[in-house]
Amino acid sequence: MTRRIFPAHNTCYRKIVMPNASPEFNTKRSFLKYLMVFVSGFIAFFSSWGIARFVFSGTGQKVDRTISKELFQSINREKPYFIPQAEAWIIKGQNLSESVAFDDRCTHLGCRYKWNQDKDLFECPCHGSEFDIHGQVLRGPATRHLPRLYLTEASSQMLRISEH
Amino acid sequence: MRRDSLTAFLEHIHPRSVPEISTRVSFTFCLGGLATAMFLVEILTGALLMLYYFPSIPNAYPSIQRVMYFAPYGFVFRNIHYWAGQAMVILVLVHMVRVFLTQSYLPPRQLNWVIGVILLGLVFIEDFTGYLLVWDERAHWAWTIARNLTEKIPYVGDGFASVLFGPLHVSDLCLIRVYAWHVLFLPATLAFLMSIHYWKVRKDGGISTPL
Repeated sequence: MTRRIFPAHNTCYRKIVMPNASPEFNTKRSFLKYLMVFVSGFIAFFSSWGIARFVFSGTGQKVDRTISKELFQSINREKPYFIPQAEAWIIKGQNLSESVAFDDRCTHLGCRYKWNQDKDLFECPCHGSEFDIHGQVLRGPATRHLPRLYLTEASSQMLRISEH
Repeated sequence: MRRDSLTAFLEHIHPRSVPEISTRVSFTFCLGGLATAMFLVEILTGALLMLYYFPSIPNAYPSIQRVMYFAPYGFVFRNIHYWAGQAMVILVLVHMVRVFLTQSYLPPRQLNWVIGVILLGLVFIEDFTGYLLVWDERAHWAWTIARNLTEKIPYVGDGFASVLFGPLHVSDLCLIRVYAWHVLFLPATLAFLMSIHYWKVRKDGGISTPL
């Protein structure tokens, strides 16, 4: 039986096994080193991902932009009606397609405006911006009108407030 | 950080030479180092759990339920925190047995032995305060028993129990006090004494070989 003797540092093997690898990537020791770095990086990446999900969970409250049809029927058409869980004002029209809603944040810096019954307008408590019942700017510093939201049917019982 | 400066830092905290016998893992089983690793795991996972924990009587247990069942990976972090805590207690105890069996309490290491015993006591208290923070029925009665036992220490018992466990009657103040001990004062003291403990190992001739 013949035994093939391999030289300890056979440069041919480097070329055959890993032709494109960097010169450091040739010995068993360096391979193990890179493997360790790879495995550590893999573990670190997924640990960080889990930690990030844990840390960021529950920090942003989700807005439930649905209301029941029953509630919608009970809304008075005379004035805007505020839905706290939807963070929106509803202005009821003759029917669903004529009804509109506005997000309750001012277009200036995002403070939550309120309906001023005496003046018949929306008034922002932070910097005094005013909007009429159609969401048009009456007084600054806000320059943009309130973005209009639409009411659509979500199910047989519920309505959805959305941008489209 | 450049690689050579990192290497220099590691060489700085390691001794320049070590006895050959101490390079065997079976000589110390690296128990002190493992306990320190558990301590670091506790710090990391504890900091994460602090984002959800609410130290008040009506909210403590629901906040832990929230971590366990609603927060993403919350059960993983809480279980790691719990089991690393138990492992730390066991590792510190076995470390102490090893130190005793190798007679490492003898001079010149007698001060480090005393610091080690204090660290052991602090680890027990740290573990116990964590057990109380859950504030379920078991923790409530554990708090009552521990406070009553502490009160029985002659002369200083009443004051010591008040400082450690808060007012006599259960209220939010008791839980906040236990919480403050658990997350701030005890870990800070542990970290400080552990630094001295490590420094003394180096100063007293390295890992405890026969002198």
